Amino acid sequence: MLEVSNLKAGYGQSSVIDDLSFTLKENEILGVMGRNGMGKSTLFKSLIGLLPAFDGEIKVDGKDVTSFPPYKRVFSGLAYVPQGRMIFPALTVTENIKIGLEKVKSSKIPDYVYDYFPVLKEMGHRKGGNLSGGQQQQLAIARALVCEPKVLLLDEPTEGIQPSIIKEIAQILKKIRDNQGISILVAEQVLSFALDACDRFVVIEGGDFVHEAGRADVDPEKIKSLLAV
Amino acid sequence: MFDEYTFEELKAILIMQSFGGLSLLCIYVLMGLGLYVVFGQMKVINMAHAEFLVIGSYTMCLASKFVIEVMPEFINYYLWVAIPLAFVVAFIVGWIIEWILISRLYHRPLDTLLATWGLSLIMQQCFRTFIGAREMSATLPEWLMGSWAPTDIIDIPINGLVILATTIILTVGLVFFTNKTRWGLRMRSTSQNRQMSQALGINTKVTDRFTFALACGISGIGGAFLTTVVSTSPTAGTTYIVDSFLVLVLGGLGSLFGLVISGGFLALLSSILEFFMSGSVAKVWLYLIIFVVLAKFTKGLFSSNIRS
Repeated sequence: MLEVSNLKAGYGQSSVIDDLSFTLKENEILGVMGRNGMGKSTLFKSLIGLLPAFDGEIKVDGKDVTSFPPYKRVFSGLAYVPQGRMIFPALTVTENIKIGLEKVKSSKIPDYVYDYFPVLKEMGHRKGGNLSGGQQQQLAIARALVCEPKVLLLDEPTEGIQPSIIKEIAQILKKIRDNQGISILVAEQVLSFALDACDRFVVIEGGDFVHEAGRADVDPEKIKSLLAV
Repeated sequence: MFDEYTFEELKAILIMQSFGGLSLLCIYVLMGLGLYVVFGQMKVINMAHAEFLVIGSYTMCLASKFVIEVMPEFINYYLWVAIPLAFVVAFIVGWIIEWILISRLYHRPLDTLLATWGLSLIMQQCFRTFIGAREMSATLPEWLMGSWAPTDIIDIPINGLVILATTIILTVGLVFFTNKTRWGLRMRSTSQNRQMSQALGINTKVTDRFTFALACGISGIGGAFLTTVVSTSPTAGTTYIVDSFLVLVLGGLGSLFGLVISGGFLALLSSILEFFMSGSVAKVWLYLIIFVVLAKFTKGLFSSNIRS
């Protein structure tokens, strides 16, 4: 569903990612594990187009989007939940979700959003900035979901969120994958969350994948050692 | 200086001058709305904003000239076409200028200041070359020129009332537009977080262009109404740009409400001061008062207190 080949990306003159290639299959949840500063967010930003790709190719469902600006990538089937959520604090919860409706050309928020995140219905009129961290994360996922993506990019969804909600988010992600039939790429540092949610794992270090494992043959100790500082 | 007037007369002067101030307030608010929207979203200070006011004025003048020459029987109604036309012309010119010039200067506030100032000079020269250096005014329909006299000594001009009504309609309309429509939502999300808006499928370049053009269009409407009060010349805009910025700064750049209140404060003050003393001395007093107010409230009267 998402094919990345020989991607080279970074900030200004310095490249953080050199020659990275991977494929995200249909209906797959792929976890990108790695410590801080290893290139996770750089990878995600260059996939959605907020950072330019110096070289290489990004394909969504067979379509080359490498030269597209972010909004066109959304129209081609990507959706992005950034690290730190980046909801619009001065807009209401409902308005935040409605911004994501740009692609589907509708003004009605589909019901399934509230099935996954009932709390967003109750909070509809609150300002986004007044929600708790966990609620903001749900809002950010909902906002990306109404873009009706083929591939959902989630950058550290568990950051700053209490453990009980982390478990809940893992369950919801799997439900979303099953019901909406989308592929999910998730960057993560929390191993328990990744083991819970993902079908396949890669570990990124210095902008390159250094380890890969499927759900069946994953060795948590090995990943743990790679994540240790 | 109040000795030669009776109390009744002073009251009438106050009411009439406040009303004169009100038309000025309306021009300030219409100008300020555009400046506010553009600065709020793109952090661009548009020094050429007043020239869009003049575009609106010229559109109105030329429309009236056209109507008188070609179909004089419509002179009482042409306003209803000329005003939307003023909006459309200013909107289109704004769209083109954003595309050619402003869009290349984002994230460079000082450069935009210089570039838009240069733009204002170019536009003034264009008016002079293509329309003429002489002052011009629109022929107004008769119904607009009378005045309304609630008492014997109070006279309120009809055109002032019309400007007031239009300003209220436009302000309310703009608030409604930004809060309730898809374009408004795009504008608000882009002004809060440009990158995130892009990553959710919003074409922020087109949103910026639209916002800039909209601001110019509103200014154009202001200009169209200005012709009902004063005549237009190529440099007419320079009279208003400084005061409009003053209104914006005094209001605190934070809210539409602050814009209207500070516009009212400034317009009222200058209108009343100008009745009792000469124009330039009144200006000196006005600036002195504003200076004191800004020294006390450094962020303007109504700065917003949103966490950043």
